[in-house]
Amino acid sequence: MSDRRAYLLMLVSVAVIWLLAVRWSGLPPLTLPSPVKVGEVLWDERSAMLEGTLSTLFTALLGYALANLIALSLAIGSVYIRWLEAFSTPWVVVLKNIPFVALASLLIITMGSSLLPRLIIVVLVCFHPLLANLNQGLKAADRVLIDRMRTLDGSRWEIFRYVLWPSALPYYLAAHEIAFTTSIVGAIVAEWFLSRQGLGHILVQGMTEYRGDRIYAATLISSVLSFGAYWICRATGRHLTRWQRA
Amino acid sequence: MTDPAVRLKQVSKRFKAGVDILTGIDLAVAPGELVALVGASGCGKTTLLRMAAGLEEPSEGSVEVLGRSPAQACALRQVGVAFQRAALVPSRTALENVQLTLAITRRTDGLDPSQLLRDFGLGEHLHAYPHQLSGGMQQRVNIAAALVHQPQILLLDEPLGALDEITRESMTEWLAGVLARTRPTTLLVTHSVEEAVVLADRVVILSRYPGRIAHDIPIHLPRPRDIWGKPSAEFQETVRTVRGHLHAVLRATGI
Repeated sequence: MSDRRAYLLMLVSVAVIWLLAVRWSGLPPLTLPSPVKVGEVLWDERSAMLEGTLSTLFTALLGYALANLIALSLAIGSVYIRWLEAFSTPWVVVLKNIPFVALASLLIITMGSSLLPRLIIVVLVCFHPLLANLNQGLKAADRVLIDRMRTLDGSRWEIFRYVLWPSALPYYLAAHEIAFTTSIVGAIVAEWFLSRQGLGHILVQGMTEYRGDRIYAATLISSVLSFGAYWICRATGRHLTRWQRA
Repeated sequence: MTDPAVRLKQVSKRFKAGVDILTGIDLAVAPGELVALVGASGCGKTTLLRMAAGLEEPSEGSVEVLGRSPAQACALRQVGVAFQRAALVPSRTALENVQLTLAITRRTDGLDPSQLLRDFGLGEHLHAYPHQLSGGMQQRVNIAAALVHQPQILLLDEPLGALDEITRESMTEWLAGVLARTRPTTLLVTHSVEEAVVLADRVVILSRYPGRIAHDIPIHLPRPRDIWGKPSAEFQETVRTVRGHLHAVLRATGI
């Protein structure tokens, strides 16, 4: 089955299951609104929804950019500074495994509901796959090719440009498919805990006001954003590695 | 007498675990000469070649390439190396891989990459990626990339070792033609006695545990040396002699 058909089938299935659930589950519209009702909310509250979406996107993209900067610095630095990977690994492992709720609570009491704690959460949730894959890709570089470059007196930059980076690129691109979508999820969760704006905040409002339609509307938007992020990464990755399919 | 292009003086190599790989190696390769190194696996052939390429340091003794350290010779872009596995950038075409050598060495007096690949029988595959080429074709690109900047020293580490028998035979003949035309000083590591005798001016047999030069046999056969058609009696006798020495060395080291 082609990718396109699989996604189409998924979309149709979700719509059918949703409609069947509305018809047969017996749940009140308050908790399970119909797709039409959710569509109405999306339209009627488009201004708030757009504002929330932009706020979430801003947090996600900024956090994602920072995560990339940190992951690239650590991974590339570890190639040239031998102790860096050994030094950073325990930190990475500990930070990755701190319970999310504990981290959010700590950030609330230390930094309040500003942008910074939200960014920290986004960075922490999405930088690990980037770093892990970059490390793996750089280590997978062809040693024979590096030896060849050395016998040609290739500089460190040339070895990086012609051997290490091309080796790491497919791994890095694969990590983006996970990390980019995770950054959006991370931004929403961070907003859920720490913000008075964004899709996460709309979800909190929907919960406290028993507005299932708003929760579904925000969920729908976040799904579209995540899917869009995934699609952009996939398309970019396929473009940059098109030689593999030549 | 002309100074040797490659000279190893009392070279020994000991790995960190205390294992002696090579000991007391004295070898001089004259300019334009092709020396083949043969011996059992683990005798240190590749280590010797890597020392000549500046990729390994000797534990004792000295290695000189063109009267300098190997690293300095590499810095002058006078060394070309082709390993057993073709070292090609997978995301670059055959032509781009050969051009890469010129880009890195910044040699303006190098050969024309397109013409070189055409001469190597790859005119139809200039824009093919490595994964689209057969093993033999990849190795041709690999050797073209090692030759394109016209190095004075060529180091070949079993360049045909990963190929099947038929491809290997035709590639040996092809390589002999290429080396006859370009005539760099060449150190060739090989497991094949026939390949060594076809290509080399001298065959050096290494013993092992640790590796020493057991025999240094000059090959005085006329060129071109046709072995796949009708090998001459002289050629067959030379192969027998080299093989006899090699087997004697292997028996002496318990193989």
